Amino acid sequence: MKKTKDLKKAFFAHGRVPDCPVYDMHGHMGPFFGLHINRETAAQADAVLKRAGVRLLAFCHHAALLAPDIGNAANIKAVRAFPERLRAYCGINPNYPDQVKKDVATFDRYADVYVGFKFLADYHGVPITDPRGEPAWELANARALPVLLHTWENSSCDGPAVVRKVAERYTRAKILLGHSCHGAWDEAIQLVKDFPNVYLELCAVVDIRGCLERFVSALGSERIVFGTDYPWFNHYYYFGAMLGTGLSDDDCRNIFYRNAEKILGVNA
Amino acid sequence: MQRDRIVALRAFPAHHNYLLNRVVFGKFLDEVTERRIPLLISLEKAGGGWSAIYELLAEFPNLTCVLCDIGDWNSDRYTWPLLETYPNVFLETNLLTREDGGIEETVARYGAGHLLFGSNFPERYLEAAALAILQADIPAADKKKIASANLESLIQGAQL
Repeated sequence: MKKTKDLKKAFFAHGRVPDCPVYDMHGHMGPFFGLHINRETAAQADAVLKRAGVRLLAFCHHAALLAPDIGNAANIKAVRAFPERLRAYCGINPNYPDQVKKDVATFDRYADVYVGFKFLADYHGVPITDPRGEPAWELANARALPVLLHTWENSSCDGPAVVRKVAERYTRAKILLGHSCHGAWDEAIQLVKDFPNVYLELCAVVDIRGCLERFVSALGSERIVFGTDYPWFNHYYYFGAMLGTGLSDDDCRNIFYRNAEKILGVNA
Repeated sequence: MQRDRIVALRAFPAHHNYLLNRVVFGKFLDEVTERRIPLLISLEKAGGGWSAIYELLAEFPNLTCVLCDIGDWNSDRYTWPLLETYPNVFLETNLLTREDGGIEETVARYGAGHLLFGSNFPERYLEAAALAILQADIPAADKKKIASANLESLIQGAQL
């Protein structure tokens, strides 16, 4: 298939570009405390993804992260209802170590559901280095699976210094830095330079002018993946932000889909 | 204002250390209201938060007030009651476009007549807000209102 030459023009004309699919590597689902999310359900997500031309959303349901009585059952139910465009990260909450062990032990039972693991350390109040999360790290490392981290500057749970410790220890797991150590941009760049298995993810990054340009200037575009935190952020807004950076179409394609396909082992 | 083609006012009460209320600005804001001159207030930059906005509008219920940088996700708990109560309140859309479904939900409830396109350029990308409005799941006529018609109407209605 002949590739579209001007991605910006094509996205603005049509909203989606068939030969430039999008892999959203950072998503969620379900209600959240203290606020109103407009689209909470898997059915709504599937409709939004289809309309926006998102080939796959890798997500972790809010319940899997913050409602241990429901846990990863919410992920399994959503993916199996809409398998074409949804895959889940197995949510890991080290505050419930028995559940972590159980989820890791049954991971293979849900090969059709899971792509890897998700830690939300700042919210759990538990550093990503905590031994209670180790079963997930060990499996991810053994299988070279993606591990999506929420990462934020100065955090004692998932700031760049803590990320460095897990990157030193788990050299095969594909560590996706959700929000790219938000605010600690230079430290995030250095982590990618130092560790070949570390990737930057763009949620809450690409909507700030200049950050992505800085990343690509320092690293190129092959270690950066696209993410929106859907349903928190809007896909078109993030597409527009990507296209507003002035990056080459080749760089945009790397970030929109090529890098994710390599991480996920997808044959394009 | 007419001579210099200034069509709206902005206020930064907290940053500039004053209170935007009837005691301090009664006569001035009565005239601004009467002349339908838009007053832009950024929730991020003005300081005072939603309480200050609610107090201001309680004192000047017909003020043409454009609320900018309204926040994400939980802002509807603050903006929707204002849209229901005050006829001349408008929302600038840069953060509504960033939030998934923010534009669609607001238009479905209140129509597009009180939304004004914004991008927060140069902090954020123009293209982000523009593509989100272009591709929003709302009628084309509503997109036109948000993108230009509502603002043009406000400017034309101001008596400078």
